[in-house]
Amino acid sequence: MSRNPSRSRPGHHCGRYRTTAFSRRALLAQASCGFGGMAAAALLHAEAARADSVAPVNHHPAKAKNVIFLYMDGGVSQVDSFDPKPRLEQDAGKNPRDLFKVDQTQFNNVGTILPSPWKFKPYGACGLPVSDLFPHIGSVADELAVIRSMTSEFPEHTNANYFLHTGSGLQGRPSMGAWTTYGLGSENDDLPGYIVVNGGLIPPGGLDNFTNGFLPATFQASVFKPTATGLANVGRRDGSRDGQIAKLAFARGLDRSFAARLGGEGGAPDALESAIANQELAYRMQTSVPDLLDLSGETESIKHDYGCDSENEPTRIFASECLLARRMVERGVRFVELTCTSVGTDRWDQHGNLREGHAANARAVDQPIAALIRDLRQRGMLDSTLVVWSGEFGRTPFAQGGDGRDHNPQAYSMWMAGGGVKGGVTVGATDDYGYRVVEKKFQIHDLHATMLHLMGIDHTRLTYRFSGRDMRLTDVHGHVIRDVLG
Amino acid sequence: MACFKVGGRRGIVVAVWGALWGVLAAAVVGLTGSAAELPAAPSAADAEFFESRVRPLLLEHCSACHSRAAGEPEGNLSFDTRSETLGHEGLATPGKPEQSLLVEVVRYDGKLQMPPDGRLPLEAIATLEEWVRRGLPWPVEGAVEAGATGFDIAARKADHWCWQPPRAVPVPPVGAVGWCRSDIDRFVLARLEAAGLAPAPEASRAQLVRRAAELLTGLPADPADVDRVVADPDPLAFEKFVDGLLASPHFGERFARHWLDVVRYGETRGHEFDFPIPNAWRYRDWVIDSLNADLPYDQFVREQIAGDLLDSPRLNAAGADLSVLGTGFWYLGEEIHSPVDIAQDAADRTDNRVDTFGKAFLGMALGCARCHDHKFDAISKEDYYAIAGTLASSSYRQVPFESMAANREVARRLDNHDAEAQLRLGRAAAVLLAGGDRETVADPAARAARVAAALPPRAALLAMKHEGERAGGEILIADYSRAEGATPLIGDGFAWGLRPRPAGQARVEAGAEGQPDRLRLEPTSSAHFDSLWAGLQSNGEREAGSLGGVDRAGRVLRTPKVRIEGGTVWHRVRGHLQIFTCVDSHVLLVGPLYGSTLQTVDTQGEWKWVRQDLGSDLDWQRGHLIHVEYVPIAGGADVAEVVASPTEPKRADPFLAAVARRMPAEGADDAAIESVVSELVTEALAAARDGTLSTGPRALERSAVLERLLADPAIDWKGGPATTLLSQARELEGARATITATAKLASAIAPAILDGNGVDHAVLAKGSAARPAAIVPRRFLEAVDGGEQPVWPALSSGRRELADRVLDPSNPLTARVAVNRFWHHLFGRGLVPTPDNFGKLGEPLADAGARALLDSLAVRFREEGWSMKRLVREIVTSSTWRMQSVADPRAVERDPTNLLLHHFPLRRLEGEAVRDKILAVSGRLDPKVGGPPVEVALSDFHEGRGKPGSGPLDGDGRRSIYTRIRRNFLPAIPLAFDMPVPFQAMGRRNVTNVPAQALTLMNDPFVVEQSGRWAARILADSAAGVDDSIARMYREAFARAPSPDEVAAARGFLVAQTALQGGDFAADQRLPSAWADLAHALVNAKEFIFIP
Repeated sequence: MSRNPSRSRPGHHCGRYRTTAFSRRALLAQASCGFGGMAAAALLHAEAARADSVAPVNHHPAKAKNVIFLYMDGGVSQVDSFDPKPRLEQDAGKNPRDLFKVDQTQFNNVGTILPSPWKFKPYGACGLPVSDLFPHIGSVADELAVIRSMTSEFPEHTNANYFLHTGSGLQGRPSMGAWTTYGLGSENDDLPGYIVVNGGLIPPGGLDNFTNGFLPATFQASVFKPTATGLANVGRRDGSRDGQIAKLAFARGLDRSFAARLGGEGGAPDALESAIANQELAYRMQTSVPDLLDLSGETESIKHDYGCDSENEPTRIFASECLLARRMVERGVRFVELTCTSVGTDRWDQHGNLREGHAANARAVDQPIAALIRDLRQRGMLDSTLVVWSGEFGRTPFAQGGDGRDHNPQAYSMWMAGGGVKGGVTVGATDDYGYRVVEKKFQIHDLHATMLHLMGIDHTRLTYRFSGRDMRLTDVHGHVIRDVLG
Repeated sequence: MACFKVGGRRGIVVAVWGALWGVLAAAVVGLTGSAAELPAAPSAADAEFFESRVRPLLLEHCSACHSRAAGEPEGNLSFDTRSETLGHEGLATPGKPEQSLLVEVVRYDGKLQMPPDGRLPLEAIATLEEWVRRGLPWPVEGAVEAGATGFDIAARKADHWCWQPPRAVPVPPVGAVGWCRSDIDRFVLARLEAAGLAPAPEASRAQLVRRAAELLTGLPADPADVDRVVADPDPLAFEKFVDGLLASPHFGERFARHWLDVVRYGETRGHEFDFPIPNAWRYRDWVIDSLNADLPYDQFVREQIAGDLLDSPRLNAAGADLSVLGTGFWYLGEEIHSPVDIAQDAADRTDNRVDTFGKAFLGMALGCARCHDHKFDAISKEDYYAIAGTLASSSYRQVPFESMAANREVARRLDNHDAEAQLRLGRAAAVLLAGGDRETVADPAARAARVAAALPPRAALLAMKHEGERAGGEILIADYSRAEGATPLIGDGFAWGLRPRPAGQARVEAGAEGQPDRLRLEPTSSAHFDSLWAGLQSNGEREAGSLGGVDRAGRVLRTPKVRIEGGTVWHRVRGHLQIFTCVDSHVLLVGPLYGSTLQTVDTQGEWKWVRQDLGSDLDWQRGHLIHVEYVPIAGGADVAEVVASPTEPKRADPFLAAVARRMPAEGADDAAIESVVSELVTEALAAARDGTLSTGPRALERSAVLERLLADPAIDWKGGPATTLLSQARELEGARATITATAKLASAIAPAILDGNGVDHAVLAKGSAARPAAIVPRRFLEAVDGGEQPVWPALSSGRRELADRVLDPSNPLTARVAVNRFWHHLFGRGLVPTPDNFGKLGEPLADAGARALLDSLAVRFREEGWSMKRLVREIVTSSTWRMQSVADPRAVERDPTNLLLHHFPLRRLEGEAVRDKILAVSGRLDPKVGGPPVEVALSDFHEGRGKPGSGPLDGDGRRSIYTRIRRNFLPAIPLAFDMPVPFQAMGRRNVTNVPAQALTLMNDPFVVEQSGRWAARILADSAAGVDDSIARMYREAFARAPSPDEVAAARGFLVAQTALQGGDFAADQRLPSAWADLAHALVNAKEFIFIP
């Protein structure tokens, strides 16, 4: 039993009701004077900061500057990946209700104890046990901090996805990427600060997993595809670049006179100036986004490491997602999330056919993820890039039907790497069956608190006033998971 | 052993809510009593055990959350003092760790696990088990314990302005009297003058025309209108123009879109597969039509809260009920299919409804009081659950609103007819059976003997003496079988009649194979669906999932809502029926769970007890609130009784039971039984003769007696008197069919609410359905209505009363909130800048002058008949609204955010208006008002489950409000320009500036296509010269003519673009692609989307 004596509840029962001295919004509002404006304050944060002396939120020194969130949509089975349970062999075929208390599940089709079809073996100097699903990830075991005691509150996908992404099971709350860019802005003049690379599967709950919610729309995710143009309307439709420039220049002329007429002696309204500036940024994104998506400058060996030449199409797609993630981080994009790609069966949601389904999903992501971590390490970027690997919940140690596993929010495994995280450690424990957490139970709010902490943000102090409350990503919850801090 | 304090009200609560925590609850219920006491003072050894082992453990592991020192103790459980801990209901059963919640949660055995961040060490768990085993010893504290932390509504009210009633304060004196057109101006000017500021000069008429057109209708001004108003010598020319805009149907479309933000309007249910809310657009059209008709705001509110309960609903010319359409309001939110915790899901959906209700009508964040008393406002959690009760009392339906009013009348006529028919046939049958006519009936004594001879053996009869009484394990859901005290009928139309059909109703039964027809009497009362209604037909979308399989609207019989604790329900029914037992108001039957709540049965014309087992999908530990809905599938149908019971209910034949009751317990010989039968026959015949057959407690028994007599083989059904009776019966049946033939069978349908019996809600600790506490009666906010309120009716939800209270003049919020919303839409910022939150955490009024202005508008709005159009007119014709949007730098320095309104704020069009304006200038706009939605045009970037087929790129030219609002696939252009995700009330939109907006205007295929179309339309006027065409485009886009410089610049641009595209402007002045570039450039100019 471990409890951190230093942490305490944040004084008041419900911290979201406190007003804080620091209002990010007030600063942004100030920043909207002059070039860039409120939107550009995020998109062009560095510039805005220089121009208006607005510093990003830094409650303490940051370890991580960027985040890459590897979202394992559907829920990876913990007992088949990072949490070996030999007891499952021993009790194979038994009725779990004879062994422990079984909660209601989504499909309520409880079968018998199902041992993992995969063998585990130790990897790295730390000896981290990893199943045969993830040999490549095993090869970077010494970079990983595995948390085996994560829990969710929701046993079904949509609520659990919202919970994982926004800290609330309900639709419409701001996502962690939105909060992060709200707190820190972006470091790139030509790209959004928060990008989701969509491998083809948008998780249940849809794009609201990546929403800005009540935060200004500046902080919503831009959803890129890993192929083609990447982003909606980023492709110029004009016949020629010169034609477009002439068109925009003509519009700019109109804008100047419009601004002059409205400006009087006091200058044009801020909103107008911002909109004018945005057109420039949008124009630049027509170039910067294709440039970002153009992998031709990458060496063949790098592309090979990631799996861009894999004979397996899902692996190729996820490889380009991972490679893009690195390129985005290189360019200063603050928060990148990768979603899974279709492997022909379902996402990680194997209610049946566990062996084939999990194997196919693992095959798509294993090599690219390991390559991403090695690549970041080799480029000296891993220490400042927080990589997080997680699903929305785990799976039951007993079968659903004969050969599947149902949802299990009681316990699941996830890992973090880089960005101030201690490598080669395992935190928390589940019971003999991997069904419930028995040691160091953590919650999504704790994950969020930890991510923000590594970015230099105190999660209790990053607030936004909405609907009369000072809202937080972690609501009234969340404790930093100190065991993973380097 | 001492018992816990669960006395009085709380004990009852536990009983009602049932097995709250499984086996524990039974113990608690058992302990209910008035003599509440805590465990006695412990022995020295136990006290030592507590102090040395238990108290430190509680302090270290529990008190961080469960203590008053931490604010409000979590779950209202505090470990601070002996009485608070041991007095907490349901915490533990002394001496029985296995039956104690405390032990269960620390063992991590159940859903609730404490402490939440990790299981305690085993020895700590063992200590707590030992503590419970010893009977929870805790030494008595000497000091008086502190009471619960106070929540003082009166203090809260006194502390915040919004609870004080609005007062019409005198209009302040001003200096520049000549500037003022109205009281609004005097209030505004007084503030400006006090700050040493002057209002900005008046905008030009052309600017005002553009501003008014785009802000009042969301469409650009017609250049001809601009010219006309500018040239009009009438000083009231602008007022006339505004009147025209207010009379335009586009006014309703524009302001409807504003209101749809407030009510989180969507046409799908979001969540994983984004299932449709069938026919939601009927509500959208109701809003548009209401605004266009200038429906008074009080009626607008009343119809949304309780439009189904009005004494005289509004009908349109075709007789359709319009009022009920407003109640679609309640069901516009998200819904989840197959929620694992169905009760918690119900609590979450209710929360969204209560929260939306509070914000929309009261500007009050009621949702904040779901888990605890509001932290800052005068709203208690009891207030929240009092209002939640009105929703728990109601249910969802698709209403056949076109036929309701007509069929209500048909049902009334049928009801009268049936009463009359029964009277006449009863009398005629009595005469026949009394034996007055020897030709047809054998002598009465012989008849009694025949009836008696057909009775079961005496022993069996005696055993029935006590039958007919309801068994102990049954929970009654509905009983339509009684003549007196029957369950009131709740139907979603009138096909089930106005009340249950009484026993004794006569009908002609066709004889089999050469046998004559004969008369039968219904032996029981029942809710009865006459097959004459079988042709009912609803037009509209059906429900997704299993419920959509049958045409339900107008055919539903709904039982009251009842809380039950076991999963077996029995229905005594006759006919071919769909039976839907709605659990915790969950209706989205798609996915793996809750299939068992829906079942179809055909009893082949017989009365049967039908068993429905809900056990497998549901956890019954905590009980569920259910009601049953019956829908006939073919022919007629009857429902007599519905009960929850583990075993099949037993009901004796009412006739046999009556005989048994009257029989002497001993020595009853044949003669005695015969005499009992004879007595019953005499009484029944007398009742039939005097028309009281179906009334009174003995109606069933008497009908049964008569039915037995009619079955007497001695009756000659071919004889004269009997055939007369039969033809009389047929004639009455014919008359009945004639009435029913006037029914309106086909009707469009729309989402609406259905009223039911009153169900009071329990306060849920921390908002969790797993933790019900005290039940609160339905009522309105204590801050408005005080602590002592009249009890709301038990037989209806109380929504009618809720609407009354919302609109009562004593309610300080409603009129202010309404007025402020219009101010917000017309000025871009409300006098209260947070239109959905007038509470302490909303943004405050700028100053006392703003308050005076708001109050004055609110008071007059209410007193002068709640006219929304008149309010809009008053605001936009004021001098304040007519100021130009150029700010004086000195004013900006003094008041940088324009709180005092020294100039008109520059406005950016909403996404819907941007798209509509593009359609308007391109000429593609279809001005049709209302109707089914157009599917959203999808791009490659719309992703997700439940993805629909794409609609047309130009949305068929319809205004944006007619694009289907699919929660998970929102339309791209409105979304880029801050259309809110519809999840809760959003009276104030974000106005952001993101590059996606610029990218949209630069590259979106719709924008590019429509720009080309605009250019083509301009070029189609072959008579116009280049400069005229340029000027026309400027006037259409900006409501102003271009300056000579601008014409020259546009010409230069056309020349350059023509050249770039390989042409020569001198030779070809009408190259469509060059003009399309000009059109596209104008759309990209900020003046297109910013209104000065």
